[in-house]
Amino acid sequence: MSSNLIRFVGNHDIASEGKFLFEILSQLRNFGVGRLVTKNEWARKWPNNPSYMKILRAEPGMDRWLFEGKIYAEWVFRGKNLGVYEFSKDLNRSDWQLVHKHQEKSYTSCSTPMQELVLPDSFPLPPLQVHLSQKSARKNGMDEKSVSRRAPLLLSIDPEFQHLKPFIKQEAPEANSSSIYEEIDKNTLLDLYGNELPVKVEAWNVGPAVFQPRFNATTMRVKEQPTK
Amino acid sequence: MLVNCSRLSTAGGRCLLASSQMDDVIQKRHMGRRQPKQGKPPILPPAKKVLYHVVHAPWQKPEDVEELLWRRHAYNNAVISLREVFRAEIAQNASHGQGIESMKEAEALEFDELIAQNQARNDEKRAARAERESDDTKETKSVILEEIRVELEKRNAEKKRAEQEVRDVIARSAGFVNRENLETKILEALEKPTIYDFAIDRAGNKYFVPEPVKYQEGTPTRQKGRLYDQTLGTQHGTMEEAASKKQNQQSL
Repeated sequence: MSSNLIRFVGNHDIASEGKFLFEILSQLRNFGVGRLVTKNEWARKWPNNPSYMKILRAEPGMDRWLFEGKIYAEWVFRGKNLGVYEFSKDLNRSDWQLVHKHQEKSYTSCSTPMQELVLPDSFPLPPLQVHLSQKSARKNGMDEKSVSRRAPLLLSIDPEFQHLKPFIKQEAPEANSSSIYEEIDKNTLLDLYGNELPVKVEAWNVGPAVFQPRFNATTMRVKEQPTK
Repeated sequence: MLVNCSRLSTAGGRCLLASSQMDDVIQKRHMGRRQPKQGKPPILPPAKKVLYHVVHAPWQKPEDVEELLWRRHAYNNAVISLREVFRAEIAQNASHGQGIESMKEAEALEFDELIAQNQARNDEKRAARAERESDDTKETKSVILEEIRVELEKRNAEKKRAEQEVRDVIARSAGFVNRENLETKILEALEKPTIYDFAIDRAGNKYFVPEPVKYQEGTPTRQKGRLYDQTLGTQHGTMEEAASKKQNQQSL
C-alpha cells in the first residue's frame, strides 16, 4: 500500500453530508437572520414537500465546536408553516444546508403540501373487556345492551411528532371492525417517517417514546453530570 | 497542643503542627520496583484487528420495521385509551356504591366470617384432640403398669435364686478353712498330702513314679522327667477291666 493512498474505514454516515448549523450561520451576515436553511434529512424523507426554516434570531453558544446555542426560526415543514420554533437541541448534527438566495423562490414553492393526518376517533374495545363490562352490568341490574363496545381513541404522540399535532385530525372510521389495526390506515402512520424508515424498532413500551441520553457529548466535558 | 498551636498561630502567624505529623508518614514509592502492568505496552499502536474493526449492527428487515412501526403507534393509542376506559369504570363503580371503600368493607366482613369459621373448626378439633389424648394416656399407663409388674416378678425370682445360692454356699461352707480351724486344716493337709503327679490308665489305676512319700528324706532327685514310662510298655487295665471294677464297687 503506497503511503498517499487514503483508506476509508467504517460505515458511511448519511446524516453527515451537510454542515453544522452554526458553521453555516457564523459565516453569514448577522448570523443569517432572514435566510433559509434546511436539513438534508427532510429532503431525503419527503423530496416532494420542501421543509426549511427562516432564521429569525440566533443565539450562538460560542463553544469551540459550534454545537451549542439557540435559534428561533419560522419552520415550514413539508410545505406547511408551523410558526416560530426554538431549535436548541441536537445541533451537533452536520446535516444542515443553506438555501441560496437565488434558489429561495423555487425552493419554497410547493404545489403538494403535507396532507392532514386522519386517525379514527374511536376504537373497538377488546372482547374480554366487553364481556366483563356486560357481566358487571348484569350483576348491577343494568341493561346488557347499554354497554358500549367502542371507546374514544386518545392519541399517544411521540415527542418527535409533537410539532405535527395541529395537523392530526380524528374522524369517525369508515368501517367498524373488531380490531383497531383494521381501522387505522397504516400509510397515514408510515407517512410520518417518509421514505426513510428506521433500521430497527425497539421493544414496545406503553405511551410515547422516550429517549434519555446517557451523556451529552459537549456538556459532558465541561460540567459534571447530575447523579441519579 | 491545641492551645499551643492556637497561641503560636495567633502570635507568629504560622502553625508548626506539621513536625509531629511528618514522623507518621511512611514512604510508599518503591521507585523502580513496580511490576509492569499486564497487556499491551502503551507505546505500541492498536492491534490491526482493533484498528480496522467496524461494528455492523444488524438491521431488521424493512418490511418488518414497517409492520412494527405502524402497529406500535396503533397499539400505543389503544392502550392509552384503554387506561381512560378503566379509570371511567372505577369512577362509575364508586358512584354506584361499589367503589374501593365498599369493596374494602365487604372484604373485611368476609375476613371476619372466615376467622369465625376457622375458630369453630379449631374448637372442634381441640375437643377431639383432648379426648384422643386422654385415651392414649390411659392406654400408655396400663402398658407401663404391666411392664412394671413383669419386671418386679423377674426381680423376685432373681432374688429367690440368689438367696438359695447363698444358702447352698453356707451349707457347703462347713469344710471351709477359716481363722479358727486354720491350724488343724494345715496339720490335716500335712498328714494327708494330695499328689497329682501320676499317670492313669483307662481302668482308673493311678501310677505314682516315684512313689509319693510323706516326708522327704535325703536329697530329691534332680531329674524331673521319668527315665522310662512304665505306662507305655504294657497294656494296663482294659475297658472291660474298668467296667468290672466299676460293677464291683457298685455291688459293694
